Amino acid sequence: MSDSSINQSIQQQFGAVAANYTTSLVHASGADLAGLIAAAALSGTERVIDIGCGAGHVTFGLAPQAGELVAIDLTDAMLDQTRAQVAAKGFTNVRVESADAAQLPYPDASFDIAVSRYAAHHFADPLSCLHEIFRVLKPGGRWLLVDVVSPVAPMADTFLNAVEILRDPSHVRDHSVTQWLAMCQAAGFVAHHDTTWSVRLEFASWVTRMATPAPEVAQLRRMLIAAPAAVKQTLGIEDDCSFRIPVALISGVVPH
Amino acid sequence: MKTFRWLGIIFVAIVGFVVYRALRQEDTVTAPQSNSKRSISPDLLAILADPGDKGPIELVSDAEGKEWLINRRNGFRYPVEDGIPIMLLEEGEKNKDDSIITG
Repeated sequence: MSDSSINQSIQQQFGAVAANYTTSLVHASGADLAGLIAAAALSGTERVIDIGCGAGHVTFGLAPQAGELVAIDLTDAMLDQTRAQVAAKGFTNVRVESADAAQLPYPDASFDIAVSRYAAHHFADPLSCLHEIFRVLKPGGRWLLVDVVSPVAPMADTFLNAVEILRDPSHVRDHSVTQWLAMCQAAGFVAHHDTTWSVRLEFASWVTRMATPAPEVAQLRRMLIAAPAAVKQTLGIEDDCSFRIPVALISGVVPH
Repeated sequence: MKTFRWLGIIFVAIVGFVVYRALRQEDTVTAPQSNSKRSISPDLLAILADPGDKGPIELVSDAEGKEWLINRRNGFRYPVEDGIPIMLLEEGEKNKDDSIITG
């Protein structure tokens, strides 16, 4: 798929289900959200960009400590959700814009911190996105990436990405921590792997949230039930098909 | 017959002039008189750039009061929908207007 068709796929996929992401507990709470906010350690003056803001959970968590925050996404319905919540919560330092991480509409060295949570697995060309993020950060600026990462074992990696794309056709890839570190470094960052959380995905709400069609849900169940023992163990697959995903925090610094 | 030909030429000239005026008007309404009607603050504009060439863009209102962020180097126009700038290259290209290009 070309980048623009992936972008259309994302807009289609999330346009229909945006409201589900305002209420999703996996997205609205969780140790990884708290961990990302703590890692940002904002002092009140920073200009922040939230890349792939979705329903805005990171934006709402960071806005009270940010000088100014720009939240971008590709999906209009997600942006409408976020903007409505920004107004309801009374944040006057937040701006919401439709933009593509691969072509950021900002001059060089515009931001102190860039964050992205549960969005980077949609990047059609992650290295281009990382180059853009690097470009818009100031020297000394920080990049905090939280996303699902693939397990080290190749079989579990393939399996996880297979179920992800069956559930969500706009899924591109969960990269491994090693791959993210290499890509961040290739883009110019001094990169670190800070933490990995194990996040439980309750099967029924996982597919309902994305409005996955019934035949795909049935196929997902078959795959999860018939998964090889090693994969079942790595992903902690349960009898009701709920399972656990590794979610990593990777940080990068723009050298001075 | 000659009279009709002259009438036709005059008609085309008038239509051309009206279209020209309408197009010119679109990019002359640029001065932000009062910020209350503007949905984008000057602070934000200062850090917005064209997603393609990364150069500066300009906020304008067209004859219907619709806001656009325009790039005068290539004519790309990015719409502002419900206060949300749509800063996607394909949108800018779709709404391209060569008449706004300045040297």
